[in-house]
Amino acid sequence: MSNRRSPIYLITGLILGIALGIAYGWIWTPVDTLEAYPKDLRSDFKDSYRELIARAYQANQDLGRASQRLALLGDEDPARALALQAQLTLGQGGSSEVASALGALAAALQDGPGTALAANNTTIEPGASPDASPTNTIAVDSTNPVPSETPTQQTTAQPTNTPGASEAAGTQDSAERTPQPSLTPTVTPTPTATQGPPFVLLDIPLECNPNIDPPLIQVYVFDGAGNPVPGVAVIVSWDNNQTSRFVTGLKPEYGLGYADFTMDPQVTYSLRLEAGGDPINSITGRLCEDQDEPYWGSWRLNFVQP
Amino acid sequence: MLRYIFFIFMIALGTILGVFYAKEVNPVSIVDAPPDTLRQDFKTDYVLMVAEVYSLEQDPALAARQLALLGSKTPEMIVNEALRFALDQGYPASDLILIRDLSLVMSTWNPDLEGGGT
Repeated sequence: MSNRRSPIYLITGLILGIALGIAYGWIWTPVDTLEAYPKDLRSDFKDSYRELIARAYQANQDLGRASQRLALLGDEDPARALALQAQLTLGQGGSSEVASALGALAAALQDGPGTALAANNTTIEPGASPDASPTNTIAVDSTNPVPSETPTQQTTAQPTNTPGASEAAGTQDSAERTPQPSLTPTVTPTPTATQGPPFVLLDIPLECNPNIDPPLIQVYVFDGAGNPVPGVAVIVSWDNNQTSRFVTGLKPEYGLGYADFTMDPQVTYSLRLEAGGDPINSITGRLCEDQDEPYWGSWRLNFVQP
Repeated sequence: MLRYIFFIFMIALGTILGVFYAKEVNPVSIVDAPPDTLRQDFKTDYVLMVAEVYSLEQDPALAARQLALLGSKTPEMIVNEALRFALDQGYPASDLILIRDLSLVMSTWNPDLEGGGT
């Protein structure tokens, strides 16, 4: 009789069990057992992580490794994120050294083979760079992990995974991963966005675009290879020693080497790059007359590094 | 009696389903995580980056500040944990040497003598 009654007790048991299971998974699991990925970091910690990647790149000049590390942060466009951070660092009065490191890595990503890899968040397959070559191992005391002897030669199979490289592309693989082995880092001077020969003015075309109102002083900075250079400080001065300082890369939608300044066409400006070079004087408004109604044009200043 | 057995069975089944849902289908996602919650391999790579920077800058105070993001342990402990993990995972010797060098520096570094430090 009772077995033929409604199976509500079974449903009750199932619901009770599901509730217990969800509570276990969501509430009772200790938070400290959770393992975060770099992309999960708080925004300011991501900035610190990005800065460290750039500084490490200065030290090892390993663009592939830097690209893989940046991919872990999950930025849609790592080069742009670096450039923006460089600008913010400068804008907030931070270290120019850090800004240079960030800018240099951004520029290198745009130039180097790692660009596509990082920018496209391509999955880096474990073992993509097989390495079975003889490597050094170091004997270590288990109680004190600081090795004290010179490395000895021993052939070992090398793990070839990069930490979370595939996770950054959306694959949350729980397998343990190890940084991609690379050649011994070399310590070499690092080029920065403003090192090398000073930028020189290539030309100053007048941009006649009625949609740009009020008119702008547009600055484009390119390196010797024709790549846009972020983080270049520009100083504009006008009446009564008024000055304004701005940097390239703050509007990455126009290119990493772009910066602009809203001008009053009635005022005469002088512009120079903080990194050096001759000032460009007598920049003032000029009318464009390609429409029925004349309008103020914008100046485009193209700087290049010879 | 059979009802009790079925009832317990359904609770067990529900628990399994609930855990599966909570862990696999809709797991707790970490947002705004601090660096000390990073997985150990990421922490180790972070320490390796600090070691790489130290190899260039030779600035133990800067290294200690960077390591401090990884938690409240001493910089030496953080580096040693990373070194153990790197050894276990067979990191290349060049990386191990960098971490070892940083460990040696952190073992003798005294923030009081730096006039600041962490």
